[in-house]
Amino acid sequence: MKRIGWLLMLLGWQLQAQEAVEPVVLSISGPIIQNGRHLERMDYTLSQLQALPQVNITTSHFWVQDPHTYSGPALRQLLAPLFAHTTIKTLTLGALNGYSVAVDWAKVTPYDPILAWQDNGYGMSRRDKGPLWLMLPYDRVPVLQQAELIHFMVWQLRNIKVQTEIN
Amino acid sequence: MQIPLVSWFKNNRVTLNYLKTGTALLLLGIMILFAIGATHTLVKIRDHNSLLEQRTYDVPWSLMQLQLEMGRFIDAVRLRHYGAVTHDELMLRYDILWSRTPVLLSGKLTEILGDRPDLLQLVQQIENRIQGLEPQVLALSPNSPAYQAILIELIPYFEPLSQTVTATMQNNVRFYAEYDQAYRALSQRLNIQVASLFVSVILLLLLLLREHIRHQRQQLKDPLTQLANRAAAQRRLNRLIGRAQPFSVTLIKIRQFGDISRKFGFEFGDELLQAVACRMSQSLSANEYLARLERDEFLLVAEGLVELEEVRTQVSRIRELIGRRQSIMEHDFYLQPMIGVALYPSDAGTAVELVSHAEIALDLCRRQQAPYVFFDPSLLKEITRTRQLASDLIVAMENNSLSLNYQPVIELWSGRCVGVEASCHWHHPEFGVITQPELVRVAEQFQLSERLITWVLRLSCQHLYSWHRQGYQQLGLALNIPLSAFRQELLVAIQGELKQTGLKPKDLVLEVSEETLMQDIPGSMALMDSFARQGIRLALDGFGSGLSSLGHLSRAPLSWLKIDAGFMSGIEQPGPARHQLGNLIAMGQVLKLPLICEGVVSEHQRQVLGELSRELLIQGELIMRPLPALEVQAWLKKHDSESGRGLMAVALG
Repeated sequence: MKRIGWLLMLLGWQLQAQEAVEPVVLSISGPIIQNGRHLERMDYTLSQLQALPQVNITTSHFWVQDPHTYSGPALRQLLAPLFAHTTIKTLTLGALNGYSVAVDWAKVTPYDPILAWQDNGYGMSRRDKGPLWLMLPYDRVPVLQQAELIHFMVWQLRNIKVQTEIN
Repeated sequence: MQIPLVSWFKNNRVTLNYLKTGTALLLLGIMILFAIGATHTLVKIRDHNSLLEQRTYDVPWSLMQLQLEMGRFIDAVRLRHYGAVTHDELMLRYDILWSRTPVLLSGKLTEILGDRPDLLQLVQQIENRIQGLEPQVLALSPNSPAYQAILIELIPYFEPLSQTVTATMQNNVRFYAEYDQAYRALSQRLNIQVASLFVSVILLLLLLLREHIRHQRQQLKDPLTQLANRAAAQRRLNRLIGRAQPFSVTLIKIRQFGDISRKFGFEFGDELLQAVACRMSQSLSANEYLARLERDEFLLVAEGLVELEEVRTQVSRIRELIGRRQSIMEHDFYLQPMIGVALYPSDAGTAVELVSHAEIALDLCRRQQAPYVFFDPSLLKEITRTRQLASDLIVAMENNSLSLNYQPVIELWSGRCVGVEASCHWHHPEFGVITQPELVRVAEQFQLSERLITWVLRLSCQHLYSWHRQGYQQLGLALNIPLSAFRQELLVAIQGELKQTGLKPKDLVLEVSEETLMQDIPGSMALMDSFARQGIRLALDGFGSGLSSLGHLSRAPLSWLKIDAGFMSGIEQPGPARHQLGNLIAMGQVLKLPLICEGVVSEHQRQVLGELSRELLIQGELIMRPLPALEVQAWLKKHDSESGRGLMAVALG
């Protein structure tokens, strides 16, 4: 019995350890409907995000000297199935360090931002603005809008709160 | 009386135009200058804004974040020591702290911090320390004294970092103050520039508007006389008609203008017109309006003028006004106006009709040498009739519905018929008999003279040929040649006709008027000479009634002079008429030219003529009225037998 108990404990620990290996990197909250179920929050691990179609953005911006190529899932692709029943108005982006900013979705959606997890082919660590960085094709943004949109390029992105149109 | 400045402006129109163009260009220049200035200021403001943008966002923010995260990490280390946070939570704070320094040490912020090496150095040192702490942080466990080592490493940097943040903030405040001032100055400058730009735009627009209005006004003005032009007059008339207000339209032309203009030149003509226009416009009364329609055609509109008496007064005023002596460049003129008047609403209902009716009256005034002519519907009828005749004439010639009459010409002393004078007449289905003078006039007016004369020539030659064949070989044919048909082409046509019929040149006599003789002396002389060289003889029609000089008469290759029928009246009694005729006959004798008297209507006249000269040829009702072609032969036959008896009677008497 004792041995079985040990075995179970060991198994349990093993499962726990496996779960611990894959931490949640992004939470999306808001009036989500997925598969007909109303949810308040969806959590994603990095591998879940990596399993989505990946998009590349090559751009230079304020924090780099030369253009870098970033890749990750398109934010729109990620949000679309969750909020198909409504219209997204505002995103409140929250970073690991507590920074948060509200983004008018209509303003950034033409630039098709991505949740970059890779920078020039390397995964981004927390120490290097990772694991997720909301990336816009900054070079394509008109100069007059750059000053505003640069605030939306949140690094160490941890959660996205979605406000939708009240129907 | 003119104000000196006004006269200066009038005399310096060109200078004034330069001045206007100059002002407009100056305004445009000022506008461009202000626009450039405003653009420059705007660019500067934009530069300022971007400077502000970078400033506000980056350096102080990132420094503050670094300070904040350092504080958080230090707190986390302490808390870890007391076991209040997990290792993961500690590592999160450590990683975040780690990520703060590269923000300042790479990318564009480093460039901005380029002038602050001390700051860069401080951040670099902090980074080194943070990264150097990694093994200790990883190994940190609760209740371990190692945490103090970490604190000791970092805390000394906390204070300088805070000071730097404060200093940067202060710096920023100072920057903002300066920026504010500069910004205020810039916006003030911008305000002034935009206001000035606005003012100069408005001024330029005003100038353009003024020019536009002036131009529009000018379009309704005659540049030579500054009177209203045709378009303006038209507008005026339409307005009056619109108000259904009665008025008179008077067209005025200067009779001698063509002559003067030809003699003195075009520019002189302009001066004359200016003088006339000035004179007329100065004497206008309140209800009158003057415009210049054409070169020397003025239009005077008088509102409320309907009574003929009033119009007559007006017309005589104009005649008096224009008739006064007019001196231009030391030459004195006494001008004579030609005047045609039409009245609204009695003469026409539209402006165009009114003016054209006045034109008709004016044209009649010119032709009849009348002082003035009022339009009358009969004039219009006359014109319609002439137009109708002209168009019918073409058809009439084609289907030979014109007919020729012949009036015999006989020798006075022998009674022998020497020839016939052809005259053309036309029985018009609508207007009845159209006599030769009208026919010729219509043909001349509508450029049909040549066709008419060709037609007459062809038919009369055929007739003459048939009479020649019937034994009257001595019979000649006289044809009237109007001025407009007397040309080289006629000679060609005659030669062709002679050739076709086999007649001889001497069988033809062309009667030309004194007008033809005088029209263009060298040209017509040469033409007459070439007719004479071909053996075609010429007779001068209407001798004594015209203006030809003795010189011309003696030089022209004429074979006869034909005394105008008018000289026959009153010669029965001794008196001035007979004396005058005697003089004419004497003149013919001086010129050594035989004479033909036409219009002899009575035996008495024939006797008088016989007393004056026996060499005359005579023609007239006494001998025979103009006969249709078919009756000529019978008459000739009868005359031959009668003249034999007549002669005998004369001899016996």
